[in-house]
Amino acid sequence: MSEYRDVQQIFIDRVEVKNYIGLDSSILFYNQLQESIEKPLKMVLLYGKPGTGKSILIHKLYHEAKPEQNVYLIATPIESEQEFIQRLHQFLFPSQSVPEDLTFNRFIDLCQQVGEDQQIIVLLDEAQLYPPSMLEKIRLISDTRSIKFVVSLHKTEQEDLIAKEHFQSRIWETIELKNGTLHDTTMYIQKKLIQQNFFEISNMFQKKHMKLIHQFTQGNYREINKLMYTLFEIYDYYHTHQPSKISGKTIKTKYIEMSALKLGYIHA
Amino acid sequence: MHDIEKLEKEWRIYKLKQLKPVAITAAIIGAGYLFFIGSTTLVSYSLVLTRPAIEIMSKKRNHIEQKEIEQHKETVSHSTIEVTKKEVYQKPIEEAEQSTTPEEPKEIVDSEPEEEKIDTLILKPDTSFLAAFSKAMSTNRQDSKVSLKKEVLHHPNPVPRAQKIASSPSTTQHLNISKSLVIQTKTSHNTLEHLIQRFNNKREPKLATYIASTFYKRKQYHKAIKWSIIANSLEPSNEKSWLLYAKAKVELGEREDAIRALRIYLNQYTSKEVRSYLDTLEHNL
Repeated sequence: MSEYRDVQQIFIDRVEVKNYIGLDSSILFYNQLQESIEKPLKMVLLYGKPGTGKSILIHKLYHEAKPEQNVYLIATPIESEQEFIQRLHQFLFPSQSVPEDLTFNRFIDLCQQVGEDQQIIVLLDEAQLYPPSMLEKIRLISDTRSIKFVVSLHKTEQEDLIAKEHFQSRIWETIELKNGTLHDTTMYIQKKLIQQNFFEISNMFQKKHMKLIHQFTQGNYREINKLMYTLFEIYDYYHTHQPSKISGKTIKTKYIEMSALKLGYIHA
Repeated sequence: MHDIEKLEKEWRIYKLKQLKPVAITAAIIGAGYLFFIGSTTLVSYSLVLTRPAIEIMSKKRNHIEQKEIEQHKETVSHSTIEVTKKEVYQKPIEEAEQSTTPEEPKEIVDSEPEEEKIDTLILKPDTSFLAAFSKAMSTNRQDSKVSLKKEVLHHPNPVPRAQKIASSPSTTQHLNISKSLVIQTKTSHNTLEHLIQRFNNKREPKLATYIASTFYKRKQYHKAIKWSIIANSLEPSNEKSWLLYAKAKVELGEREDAIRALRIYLNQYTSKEVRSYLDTLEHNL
């Protein structure tokens, strides 16, 4: 297996806190999120385009805040309302078993009994996937102040509408995540490679390559991962079949453009 | 595996498409540049080619003008005789002359630059005479009106207007002719000045040769030598500049210098014209 295939693996898009890349902008958003949790808010809305780093940020917050605070994470949406309430009951009353006849109204009553004193934080990732009825129930639970929700959702027109209808009156703070700058793109790629000890490959990237990658991906971290994965897939192919084509000391612009063609950023 | 090869082919097509507009714009710019260069060289060549023709034309014109002046002189002398015979009409004619004398030189002056303009294609007509002309007309109109009326009424065979102008005293006519000649030389001098100015801007060897030849024709041999040296320094292979230098030297009585220069030229280049001129110079020695 060539070195390029190993490099390819580090750009597989997955949410792993240990692989979190501390960029200037992401650190700023993280600090903002931490501050928001400290405030007496019912809800915090974290939104942005797909691939801007919402999930990794919410996971990082969960892992770092867990030892000190009652923080819980629901990474994938729960479709069933009953199951969702049961999960929240487990979070709120970890020592108690979930009653079999637990209804939404009964749960609200329990939440009101707890009040703000024993407040827990629940992080909801991919909240745009919850049906509107569920979002309405989340809103009602947050009103009891027993659970503070940090809701992460994609920013689309439809999802903006959801946010307006269900959360606007209750959200006291919103954090919008944006695509990275050219500097962020460069730092992201360099740090990812160095983190995994690929120093030589990291040195193969020049400023012009970073500019080109940023131009194709618009600084979206998910797109950067995809492009880099494809680029090293091409490198791996040539390494096996035509090694002379990749003999240079720097990355060839041609292969970046070929990756962009494959991913549909540009068209022949 | 085949996907990567396909991808490479796609990339080639993409690059070709990307280069297409660049190549087209480069071709357009290149064509435009070549057209511009071609047109400017054509204009400069046409100017160089037409200059001798202009020179011949101006020569012919000068010749014709001189003939006309002589004819004028003759007609003026005839008219003065006629005027002395008819003393009865002398006073009103004199009055009319007073009013017309400022006009006449201006009429000639006016006609002269127009001709020169054709020669040089640079000079603009002097319109300052129009103001003086209108002033003269307004001041002398009242006096001249009465006398002109009398002349029309009493003269049995009124003299045509052209003859009236011609019947002015011979002294004033002489002055007019001399003035017109002065202007003629001045304008041609300006042309040469303009050429020198143009040379200073463009530094064309052909222009320097032309200036040298003009000075030579005017018998200003020192200047002709100076300009032939300038032309020679810009284009040493140009035989015309060497010949002009040699001819000017001969005119100044420095025949040996001329022979030496022509020999130097023939050591480096071959020219039948230079060879034949050198032969003639050497035979005369």
